[in-house]
Amino acid sequence: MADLLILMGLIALGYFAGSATERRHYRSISKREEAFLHLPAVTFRSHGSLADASESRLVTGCAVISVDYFKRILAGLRALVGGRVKAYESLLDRARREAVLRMKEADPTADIIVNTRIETSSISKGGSNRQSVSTIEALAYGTAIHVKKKGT
Amino acid sequence: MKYTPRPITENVNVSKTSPLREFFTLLLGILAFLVGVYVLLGLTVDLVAPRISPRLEDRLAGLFTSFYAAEDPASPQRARLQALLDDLSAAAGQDERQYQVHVVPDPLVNAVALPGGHIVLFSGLLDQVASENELAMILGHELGHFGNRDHLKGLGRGLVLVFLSAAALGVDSKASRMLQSLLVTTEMRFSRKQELLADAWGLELLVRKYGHAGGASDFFRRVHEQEGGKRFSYLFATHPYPEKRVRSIEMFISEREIPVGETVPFSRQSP
Amino acid sequence: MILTNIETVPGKTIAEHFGLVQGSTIRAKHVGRDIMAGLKNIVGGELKGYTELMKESRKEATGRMIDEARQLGANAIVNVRYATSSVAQGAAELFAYGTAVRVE
Repeated sequence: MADLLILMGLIALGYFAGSATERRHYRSISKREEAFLHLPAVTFRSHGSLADASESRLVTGCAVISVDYFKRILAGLRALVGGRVKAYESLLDRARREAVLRMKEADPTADIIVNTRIETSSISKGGSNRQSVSTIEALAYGTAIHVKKKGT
Repeated sequence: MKYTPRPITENVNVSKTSPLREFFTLLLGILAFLVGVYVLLGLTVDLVAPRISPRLEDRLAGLFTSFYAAEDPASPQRARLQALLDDLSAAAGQDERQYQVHVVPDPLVNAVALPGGHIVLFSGLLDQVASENELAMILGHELGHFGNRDHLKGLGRGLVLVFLSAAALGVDSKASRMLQSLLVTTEMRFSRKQELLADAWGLELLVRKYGHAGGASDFFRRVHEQEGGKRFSYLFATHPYPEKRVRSIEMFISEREIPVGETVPFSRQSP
Repeated sequence: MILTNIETVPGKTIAEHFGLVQGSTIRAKHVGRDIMAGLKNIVGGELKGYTELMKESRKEATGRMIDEARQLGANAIVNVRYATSSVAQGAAELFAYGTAVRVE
């Protein structure tokens, strides 16, 4: 019975704290995405700007994000039934967007980031826990290009 | 190529549905399914258990010997308990089966009826007993379980329970243990009727042996008075509330106008 | 050392290439960080300690790749790729690879 109470407490804590963290994170993400709209990240390998590039370098950004207890239990229940695991959608979305933002922040004065790659990997939690896909790392990397300024 | 900066306003990768609603739908759905299967299998067990032959039961008994491995078989206390049990069993005349009593040193205030005619008394229960009549009532109660074949039903349901949770959640996960304890609690509510029936059986034997119903409810009343002590929690979980038991026993006594006489003291030391 | 993940170094021409270079590092979780991560696992959110750890480790893997390229006399690595794989319970391999070139 005590176990059940602890579990329910953890789930409630996870739900409230987790959704508060998520809302805060999304607010921060959309604010920074707005601020970095001037720096496009593209998946093109070559681009018109490459011809008159003055400088190019590899930029990376990564984020490790964990899902809250509530969503972990929710995903565990969902795993019994099957179907779309909605609980993990926002986790992956947040991690990827955060990683792309950090990649842009690595070189904020660049003109474009070409050949952007995004990679996601799960960090295993260890132990006998079957639900190890609860912490994920997103990595974004690409080549930041600085274009020669006109008239120089 | 011209770049037009435009923000993405609609997040297509994250569902808009409420996670709380999904959580409760899933939880209730899965629980309802498990309880449904469990009740169904449990009913099957209830149908099959009374038809298990004593020979098969004795074979099953082999699985449970570890339960009373810790007892001291030569203690004089056990010999006296065994004599009392033999008396009661003879008074019942229910069958020619040989019942055996075991005393296990454990602070639990409880007694268990196991397949093969074994009754296990935990020493915590013996410490609480004040008179021989109370003890006879408890032993009679366990004999009642044998008479109603509750011990096999309980066993079958237990197996169903373990199988179900293992199938659903894996053999040793936290969730499966949680589910087990939840289902055990549910199961115990079903079994309270069986406990009251076994009480009636025990009372019957008590009256046959002593000619009166003295001491029938003393033990349960004492347990009730000490309610709140942690060591009784097990008893509370698996049996009806002692208060309710005392009431039902006393109602039984007054309805049938059974005389209530003096009790015989039970000494823990050997005479 | 210039690193890019496209086939060229924009603004420069590749004079010669030296083949594949790679750098890798395997890291296990840090005990102290793991305790914090355990708490964070309940409420969710970013595990800053782990982000730092991954960043450092990737830097180390990249550093090893650069060392290898330097041995070959390269001054740039093009078409760099990263890969992450968990090799054992609680340990991850971070791997970087690319083509070492000399640009002018």
